[in-house]
Amino acid sequence: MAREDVEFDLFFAEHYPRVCRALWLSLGSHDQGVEDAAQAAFAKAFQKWRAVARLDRPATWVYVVAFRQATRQNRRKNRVLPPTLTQEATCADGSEELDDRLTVAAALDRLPPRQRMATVLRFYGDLTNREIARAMRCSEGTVKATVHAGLKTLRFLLETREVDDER
Amino acid sequence: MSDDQITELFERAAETYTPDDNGAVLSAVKSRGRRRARIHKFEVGVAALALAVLGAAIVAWISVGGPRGGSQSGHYLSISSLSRLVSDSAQATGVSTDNAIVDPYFANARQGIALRSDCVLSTAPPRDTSCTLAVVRSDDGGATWKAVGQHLRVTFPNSRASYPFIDFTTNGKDGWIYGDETFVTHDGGTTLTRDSLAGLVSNLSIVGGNVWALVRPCPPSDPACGSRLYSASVRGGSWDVVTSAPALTYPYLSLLRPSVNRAYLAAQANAGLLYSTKDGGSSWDHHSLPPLCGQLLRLSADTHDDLWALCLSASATNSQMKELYRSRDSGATWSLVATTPSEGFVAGSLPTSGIVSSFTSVGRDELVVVLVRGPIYVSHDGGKSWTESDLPGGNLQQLTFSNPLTGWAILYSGEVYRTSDGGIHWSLARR
Repeated sequence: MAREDVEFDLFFAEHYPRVCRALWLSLGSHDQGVEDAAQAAFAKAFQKWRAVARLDRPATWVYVVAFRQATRQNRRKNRVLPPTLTQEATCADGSEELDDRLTVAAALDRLPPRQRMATVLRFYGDLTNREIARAMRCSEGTVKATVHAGLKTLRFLLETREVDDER
Repeated sequence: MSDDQITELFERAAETYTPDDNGAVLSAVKSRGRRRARIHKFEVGVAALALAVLGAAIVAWISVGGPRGGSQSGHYLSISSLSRLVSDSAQATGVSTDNAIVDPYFANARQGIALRSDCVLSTAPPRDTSCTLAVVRSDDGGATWKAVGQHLRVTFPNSRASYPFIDFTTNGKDGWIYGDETFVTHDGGTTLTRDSLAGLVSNLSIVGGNVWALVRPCPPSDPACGSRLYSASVRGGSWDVVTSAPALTYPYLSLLRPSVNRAYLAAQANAGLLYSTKDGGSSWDHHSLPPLCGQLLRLSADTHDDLWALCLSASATNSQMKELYRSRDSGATWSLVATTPSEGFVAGSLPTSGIVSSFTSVGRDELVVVLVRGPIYVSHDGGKSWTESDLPGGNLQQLTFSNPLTGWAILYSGEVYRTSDGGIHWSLARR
């Protein structure tokens, strides 16, 4: 197997699950839309692997492409806002951990889509403002304001645990 | 809750989702990638061939005299106009990098003052956040904004590259930038100096010649930490503790000051009490709020001292119970004026779907309710009937009104919209 293939395989194994999870947190769906977008992005990365591998943060390049792909897919499908994540999450371990996961998922679901996407890319994807701006096709100033607002709301919701009160 | 804690919660929430088996997916991804590469090579070849044909055609056209030669008719483009078209197109795709403004104050329909903050988030340890803050003014109703004086550069150490709390309030001349750090101006923003308040300032209110600040000496995640109320002259000077004010330990509080003498203090969640003063803070009463208000509460009061409470259920879905109450006696008694549909209640009806983002009373009977994902609802009859605004919801950062009819909406995109009919119709003021 060519060395580049091996490098890509390792890169894929390390980052594919995480990119899928970031898309899932952002889009809130279990359907094929998440993995379609992620696979399309990794396919593109494989196609351009020589150039992508030389970037400082190749994973970030994949995040940008995957989120743009997901956005395009959603527009094409004229998707209704995703159902609450609390209805779809399953967990086999302790109920306290389940509470935390559902609380975060429910809190994220309360954010407008762009705030949700920007917040997930920042806190889960660890992207910079410039990288998020590329993924969301907006200015860095807009990203800053969007993340600021999303974080403010998330802190409020998670501090007061109000999303958990009805369970 | 620190950013590290939020990240940890994200990590744990994400583990709930398990993608398909990587081995089969990897093979499919690589096949797809190779197929893309073959298609790309084919497309590049076709494009090169097309360019070559076009180039040959242009050369041939020029050689027979261009626009002046042959039997020309209809439209044509010279090479110079073609190149101009290309450059114009390139300029049109440029992206504005203007920063959005926040917390605007409009003294009238044309003159406004706001804060512009530009924060640089460091990705390298210790992950400080460095912000450049500037007070900006508009003299054309929010269409354009210009910095009025010095730019303030503030570093928030070890903030894990996150946004500090930064808010702004002003009466046009005196103003405070507050939150994790506090700065003051007494000349409309031309000069800014650090204020003596220590701790997180969660709310700062200017009424007449007096300013109040709600200060929390520790982060919201500390449950035992209480907020204290301070008072000072708007012209400057030392801050004094309002000793008679209740010390509340809830992380998020509402402070309303509809006049110099009248003020209200309440927790935004997990409490059912409203504290009020009629003598500028010398003495305080407390009253019970309607039951639903103990879950989530949005308070608002206009200059006529009517008090509004929008009480909300703490919902995990996109639906939420909503009850709007009005008090004409500073919270001693409440009357229900609008609610989500319920049997037997004949009054204003609020939608069940949608989570409330903000609630504001802009006049005696003028109310605005903003839902997180939109839309925006406006009432001009004290909540009995509601009209859906034409401003797209879901992208709204902030609303502000200078009077019951004239208001501005700041979107997250940086656009500013303006209304002159109390929020029903909006037009773009700043792109």
